[in-house]
Amino acid sequence: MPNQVRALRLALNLTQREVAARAGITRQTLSLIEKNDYNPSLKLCLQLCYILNATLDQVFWVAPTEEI
Amino acid sequence: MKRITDERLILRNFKNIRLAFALENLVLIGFLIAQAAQTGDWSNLFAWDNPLVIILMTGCYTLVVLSVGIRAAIDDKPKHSWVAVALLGVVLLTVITGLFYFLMLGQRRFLLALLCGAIVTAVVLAIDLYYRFNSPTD
Repeated sequence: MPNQVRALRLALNLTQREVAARAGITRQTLSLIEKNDYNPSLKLCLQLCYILNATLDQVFWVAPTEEI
Repeated sequence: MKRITDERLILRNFKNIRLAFALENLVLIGFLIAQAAQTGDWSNLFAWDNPLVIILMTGCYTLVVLSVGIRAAIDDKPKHSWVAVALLGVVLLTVITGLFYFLMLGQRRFLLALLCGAIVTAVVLAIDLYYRFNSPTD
């Protein structure tokens, strides 16, 4: 699923390892999420939003015309 | 050992367990067939005095009983259909009694096979009825 995790993480100057540790996941999983290769659960999406100081629609919103 | 909190790894672990279960059962069935081929006694392929059969059947019955919950949970049809319950009971009783009679008891002791079939049917129907009338998803 397309998302803005990478862009928001870089804007906050955080590394993948830091975000992953705070979300309770592995760095590999975060990398897969950023590359749209893994669809996280809603619970994990919310955790990532809290860490990135953004709302769910800012991070994970996909327009109906885009491919999920 | 460190506790896994990563949801992706937890899901992968479940998939691994499923694969291991399937592989284990295939090996068990292979061993049973090999045993029967060695002894030449195919009528006792699923005899209860064989520990491998008990292990195989424990896994199979656990899967069957747990699958009932999954089927009922995703079922959108009317829940209060007693005809469906009766039909399920008759089919289960016939199939499981048949399995016991022909595969495990060597076509002897029909009453015992019927009793085993009735017990398994009662357990499965009880779980099915629970989900039909007390589904936690309602």
